[in-house]
Amino acid sequence: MTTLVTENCQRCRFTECVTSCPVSAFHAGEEMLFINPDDCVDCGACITKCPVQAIYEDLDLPDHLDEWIEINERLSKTMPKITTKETPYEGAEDRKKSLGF
Amino acid sequence: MVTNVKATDQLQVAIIGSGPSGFYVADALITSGISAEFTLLEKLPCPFGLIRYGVAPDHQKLKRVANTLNAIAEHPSVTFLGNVEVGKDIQLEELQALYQIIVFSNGMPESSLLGIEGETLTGVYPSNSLIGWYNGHPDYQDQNFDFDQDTAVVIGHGNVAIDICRILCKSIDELRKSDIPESALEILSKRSIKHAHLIGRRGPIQAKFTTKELHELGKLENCNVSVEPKYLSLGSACQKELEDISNLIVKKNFRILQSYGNNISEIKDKNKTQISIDFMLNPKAFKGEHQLTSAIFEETYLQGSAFNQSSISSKNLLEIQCNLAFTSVGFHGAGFEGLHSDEPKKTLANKNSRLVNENGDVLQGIYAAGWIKRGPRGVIGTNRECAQDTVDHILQDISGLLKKSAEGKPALIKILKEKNIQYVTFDDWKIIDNIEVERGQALGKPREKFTSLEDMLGCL
Repeated sequence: MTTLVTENCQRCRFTECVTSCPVSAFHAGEEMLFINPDDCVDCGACITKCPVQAIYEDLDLPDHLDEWIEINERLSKTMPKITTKETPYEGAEDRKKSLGF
Repeated sequence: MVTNVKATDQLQVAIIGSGPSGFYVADALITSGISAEFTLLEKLPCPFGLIRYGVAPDHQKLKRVANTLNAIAEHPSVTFLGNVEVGKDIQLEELQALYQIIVFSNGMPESSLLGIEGETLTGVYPSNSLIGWYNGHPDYQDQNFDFDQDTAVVIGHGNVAIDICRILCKSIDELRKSDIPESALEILSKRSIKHAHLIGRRGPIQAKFTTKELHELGKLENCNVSVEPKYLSLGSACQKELEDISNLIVKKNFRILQSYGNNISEIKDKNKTQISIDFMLNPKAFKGEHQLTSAIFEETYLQGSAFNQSSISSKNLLEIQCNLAFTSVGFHGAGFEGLHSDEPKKTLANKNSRLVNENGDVLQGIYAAGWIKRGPRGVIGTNRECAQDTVDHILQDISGLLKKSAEGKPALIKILKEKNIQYVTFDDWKIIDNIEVERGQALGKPREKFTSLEDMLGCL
């Protein structure tokens, strides 16, 4: 069982997920965030916080997003931890709307 | 004897309760960069609150949150003092004289009751008595559960109810890998439960399960989880709730419940433990002479528009023959003498995390975080956000709070010594912790907990 961030996170930086993570498992790349599966305890707090529903548990991950399991595992380990909320990127609200939220 | 306890320049913060919320308050204040010292006061000799005593014993991955709390405890500005009960060993007024800031993060230990006939019969138990017992909590060891029964009902549709249902039905071999104490495993090994009902007042769209827990229930060895198809045909308001884009968890859960609907054909399979998830049933009474023999429910229907539906009892009664019932319909606070609590959950009365008296006046320097502030909702991570919110409000008040000088921890320790209180430091806890883990290794489990205060303190 693992929890992971998928493509909807790209170019948003809403980062509500980060403040709800009890174990600081989020790492930040330029474009999006990743979850370190070694740290995450699958508490699920972040899933409902994400305004663009980018976060999944692998048990209900749609097939077309499968590759994100490996991407989270790999990139979380090269990116710095993020533990506090940041200001969303310019255009994040428009992107959220375009994603249907 | 120490006579010259000097006031420090640092902000002195006392945190009452060492569950996740208490630790996250300390962490958020440390991260804010202010100069502060923290004293975490804990009634029990051991830290971590519901991580140790509430998170299910077979959810060891989730219990790893303790590693994060451990790192906070090791911060040089943080002092853990266990086996110290505020209100008994030390009074709130004494703490107020020594600290600028006091934060209540002592949680909600009391199970809410249904308030119906028969709730005190043998065989009917509130959730905390079972959860405390199988998690080895010293306050809940004096119980005589008889699991040699055919049918159990679990009332409530949240994760606590699922946890109870899962522990009741999971095979003893699976349970032996958890950190359920050997004394409880011995009694659980005598279970003969063939059928467990997980019962809620409202429908599948309103249930408060998380997807992971609902999914996990379906993965138990030799169990069949089923839902009667009638519960899965939705009215228009429920359909609207299901389709709402914000209702992510409900959608996922409903798919799982539909798959459990397909298992109804196996409900007669006597070789499997049957778990029925039943909806739209309002508990009316527990029946029996001294021992529970059945539970009576009123069938309900939903009334109102989408997201505003409430369950209305019909006149149709349903009786389920059962000898065990666990009620899991929420928790409430234990109250604190001299402080005002709000009904119905007995949260400590507060405005934006600042405690207030019965007139709504703010009590200077006293705050709340976690369940005791907002009620018994959310997952562990919710408490980190909640603690951050408390700290944001503390920081707004900081200049006023710093006007008062405070002696803090050294003076408190002096008082505790004078009172002969055997306080437990974090290093002491690590001794207990190591022994528990060693005892567990010998048994092939994560730890073998001490279940009495005497045994814990006896390690030191």
